Amino acid sequence: MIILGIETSCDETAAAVLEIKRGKFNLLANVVSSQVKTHAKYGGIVPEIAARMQMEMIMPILNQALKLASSKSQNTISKNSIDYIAVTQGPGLITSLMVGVETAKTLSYILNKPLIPVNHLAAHLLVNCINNKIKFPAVGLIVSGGHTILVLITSSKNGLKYKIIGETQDDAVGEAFDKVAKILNLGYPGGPIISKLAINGDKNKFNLPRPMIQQQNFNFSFSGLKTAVLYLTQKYKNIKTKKHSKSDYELRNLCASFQQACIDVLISKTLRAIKEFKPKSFLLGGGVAANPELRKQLQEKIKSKFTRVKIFMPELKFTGDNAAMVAVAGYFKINNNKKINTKKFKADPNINNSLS
Amino acid sequence: MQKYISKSITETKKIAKKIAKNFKNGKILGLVGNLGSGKTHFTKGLAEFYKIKKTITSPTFVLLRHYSIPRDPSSRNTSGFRTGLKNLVHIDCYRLDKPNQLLEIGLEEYINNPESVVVIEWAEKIKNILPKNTIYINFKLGKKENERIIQVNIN
Repeated sequence: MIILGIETSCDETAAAVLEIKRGKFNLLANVVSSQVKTHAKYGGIVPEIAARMQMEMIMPILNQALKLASSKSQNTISKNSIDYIAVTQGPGLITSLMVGVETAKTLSYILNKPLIPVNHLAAHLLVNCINNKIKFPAVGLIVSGGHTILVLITSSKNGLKYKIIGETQDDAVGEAFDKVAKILNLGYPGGPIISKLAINGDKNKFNLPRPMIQQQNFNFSFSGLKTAVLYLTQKYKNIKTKKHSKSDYELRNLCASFQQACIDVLISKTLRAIKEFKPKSFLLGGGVAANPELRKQLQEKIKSKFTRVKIFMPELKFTGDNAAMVAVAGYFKINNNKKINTKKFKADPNINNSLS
Repeated sequence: MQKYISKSITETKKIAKKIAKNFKNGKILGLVGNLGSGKTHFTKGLAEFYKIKKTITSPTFVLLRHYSIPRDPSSRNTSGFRTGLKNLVHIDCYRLDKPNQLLEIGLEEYINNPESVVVIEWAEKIKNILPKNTIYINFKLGKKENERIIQVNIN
């Protein structure tokens, strides 16, 4: 069986070809055209540019994915070899989502192959299944520029069921990294820049808040942390000044302290969720899952407290938006996929109430 | 012009409620102020005023979030503030450099709707496409750490 995955929820245009033989995944192609460099100029994603670029990129990316798949498989892969088309329906930027959804609808019509709508967030977690046999129930943590969510995934006769058990009450953690980077004049995207600077910083140097850490729930809040950094930059005016000076150390210390504050809250709520729901597995997903300190500390903390819980973290190439995750998530929906009325099928920027 | 000084997040929310009390029809609010100046918390206050149960989260990522205003069971008379209002629309222009994008995702539909309260963060970026009756609210950091100066400009 061959699934074509399409992902255009935000600033990446991506296509993947996934072959499934006796339940085993064989990723034949996974092509991502990152637009990050284009957006860096503007200090963030510019939606109009994102959608226009996606329109330009989608066909070349699809062709490249099929060509690559053909060269990797013993059989020739053409668009006629595709059995299912999985596409991200939401959440995301409406104008970007539409490019992928409309392309998928057209392909589904022309090739007469079924369409599978995929939730972008579920896909970020399910990508962990690509090389692993995962046992459910699982607790999943999605950390990205748009979301910070703890999910409980259970398996039933009708496929996987998702329940959001906690989420951010204001900013997403990736958004906090981006906005703090902006406050510190560091550029975009903020995550990799801050985590790199944090390596040589002292994480205990600045005492930053751990919002909501004491609250007996699974929710997060990061906007107060962003404001706390803002106050620090006003207090220590030279923290934003040039590199190779004494203030450079202070900048590194601030980055390390900020990063640690985020990590502490994420870990504390995750441990609470594992304790409460006693899952067999823990899954991490989303762009911030690329943060090396977060990965390291999550691994250590879960391992030491819950020895039986299996921990799954995506390979770095699967942390950011990609289409392999969409194809994998699509596979899990095949058996219980209601026939989609292609004409009525639309992109939905706000679907995160139900991840199914 | 009205000027408020808020000493905490709770007070910022209270100020939002106070301002909203005067709205009988749909309104467009343009929030202007830097990162961390209280724009999202102000919007949270509005949502509390309209008894919206859903959590108001930052719309930076998706640009626009829509919340339905529940019908107020107590407002049987026509003067009730909630009788006519059905939508709270929360928009964030932080990532925009051109206003056209918002038109593409249906801004006009909401703006020309007397049943909607439209709150726009970083509104200064799209000033040229906003109607003249937009109420601009400026947010500034005060001298003390949690202090915010909130200034409402009603034309």
